[in-house]
Amino acid sequence: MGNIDTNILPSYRSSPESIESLIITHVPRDLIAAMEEALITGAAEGAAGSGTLAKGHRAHAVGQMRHFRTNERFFDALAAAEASPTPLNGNRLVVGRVGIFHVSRFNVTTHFWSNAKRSKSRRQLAMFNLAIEHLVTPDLFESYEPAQSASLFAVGVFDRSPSNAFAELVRVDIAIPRADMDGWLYRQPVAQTLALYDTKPQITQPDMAHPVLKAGIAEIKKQNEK
Amino acid sequence: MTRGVENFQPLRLQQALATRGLTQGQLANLVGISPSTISKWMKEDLKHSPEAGTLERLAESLNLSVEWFTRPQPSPVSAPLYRSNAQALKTARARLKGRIEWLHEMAQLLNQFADYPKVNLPDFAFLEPEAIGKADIEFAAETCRSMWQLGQTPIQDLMLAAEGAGIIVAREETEISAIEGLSCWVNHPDGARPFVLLSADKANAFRSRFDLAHEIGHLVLHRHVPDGPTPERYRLMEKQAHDFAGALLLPSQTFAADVRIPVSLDSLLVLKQKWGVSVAAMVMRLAALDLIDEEDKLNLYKRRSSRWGAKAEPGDDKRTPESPRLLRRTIELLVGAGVMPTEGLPRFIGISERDIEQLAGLREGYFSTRSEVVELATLRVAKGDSRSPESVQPAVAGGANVLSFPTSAK
Repeated sequence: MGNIDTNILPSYRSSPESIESLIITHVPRDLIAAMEEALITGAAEGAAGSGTLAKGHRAHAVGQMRHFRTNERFFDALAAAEASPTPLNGNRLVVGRVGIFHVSRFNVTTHFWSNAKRSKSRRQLAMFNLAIEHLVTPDLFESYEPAQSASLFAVGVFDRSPSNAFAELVRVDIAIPRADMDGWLYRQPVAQTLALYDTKPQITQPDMAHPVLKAGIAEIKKQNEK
Repeated sequence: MTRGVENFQPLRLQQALATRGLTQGQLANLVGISPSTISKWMKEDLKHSPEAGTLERLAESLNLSVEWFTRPQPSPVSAPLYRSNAQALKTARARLKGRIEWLHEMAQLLNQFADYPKVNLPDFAFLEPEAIGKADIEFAAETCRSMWQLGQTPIQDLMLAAEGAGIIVAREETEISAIEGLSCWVNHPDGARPFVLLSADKANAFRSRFDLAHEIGHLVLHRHVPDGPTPERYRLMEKQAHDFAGALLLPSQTFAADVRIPVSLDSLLVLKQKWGVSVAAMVMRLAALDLIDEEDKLNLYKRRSSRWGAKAEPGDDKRTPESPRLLRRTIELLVGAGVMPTEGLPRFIGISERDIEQLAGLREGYFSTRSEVVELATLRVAKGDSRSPESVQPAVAGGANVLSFPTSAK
């Protein structure tokens, strides 16, 4: 290696950032908590009153209603965080912008395969994450450039086990998919994501538990030392 | 006729017997005398005392110095308040009261040479626990945080904060599982000082922190409440100390901002490590702050119980229990400054080496196994002949060879 002219190698600069640090820097802690609350409340509101619906289309109707209710709550959460949400409009996703992140949501189920790539809007949003993939899989020949845009999702995880006729929200994850949506650059439950914000160094506690020699004793000690 | 030892203190014998957890009969067997004789020695009004040889056997049996039995009693401690999860035995209470009295006496003896941090606790004039309201407890905890410069964030080391505020704390294995801690105030001519004794038997950092916060609650809220509360009043005081502990460890605003509603056990588990408070105590605090209602509280307790059982929680072993350091530092200061040799301390304090190690938080064997010291030759130069190389004497008998440097010609 000693004979290689290092000037011919690309100027590799390792990133000082991580996915976690990007989340902490750009997404307010309260927005993470608010998105979880929006998904929980939206799911509960969507299911409310569904008992009166005919069994044949009940699950379908609940799914629809849940989508609209959650969109409303999600919109409120983004608006409260001044994340400029896109207006509520039919079936469309509500997308906000905070720091470098486009923020949106989708649902997955536990027991059935759900194709997260089906939505064109989601695929387009995920494409932004090409700019931050190097944080997880560094490329020796790519020099680091700070990302300008990326996408983050609140993912509602629904239990659709055969024993559970109604899909029930069991968890909310914060996720950043790969650009091709074939994997995750980051996916953790909200509690774990919130814990990222707690790792800030704390002010050191003052140590005042110190005894001191009494004045007379200290003087005797000094005299003995002379 | 042989005479009994003068200045023998019957109260000392009473205290030693209670602290060692021995009955008069057991001690009599150990010393080889009748229980009635022990009984006579323990009565102040009878003026009976053991002979010198018997006192030696007595002291040896109780692992105390002979001279300790003749020392005047130090200032009495206020009736301690016990943190107990059950109706603990009277003997167990007496034993721990004796331990905290020894802690106080040791601290007082060391105080002849070194000053402890100034007592820095808020003083509220509550004479009756019934007069203490929820808002008073919150205010008292906030005042403590403010006086101790703890801000509103999780307390890194509550023991350090307490000792910095002048509280003398000992944490030791008591083998009395029913009592988790006790505290008292001791009045001195130069002011009162608080003392806390914590049980280390459960080796759980989260519980131990809460126990200490609970005792601080008693010291702050119940300092002026008369001794000997009725059982109802005692229960109220326990609840108040519990609420104080919650308020001190989990300040309302910052803790509430950390908690997500609806509350789940898993989200509390994450907060447990951050705040250093058990999930059970956090549930209690959430209810006190009205962030959850009674039904939510019961549901959380039931789920906690069914998932983890009643006594342990996940992550209990992720923190090391906080240890006291003030008395250890005091002893190290006195030894380091040459005020007192290490081996002289047990004789000066009067109780056994092991007792001192436990109460002062010194490592086991501090007095019996010394650190290896490499002896260095010291140069002692004869007075009036300091320039003469021949006057240099080896300091250690049998001594080290002292090599003189060649003198450079100027």
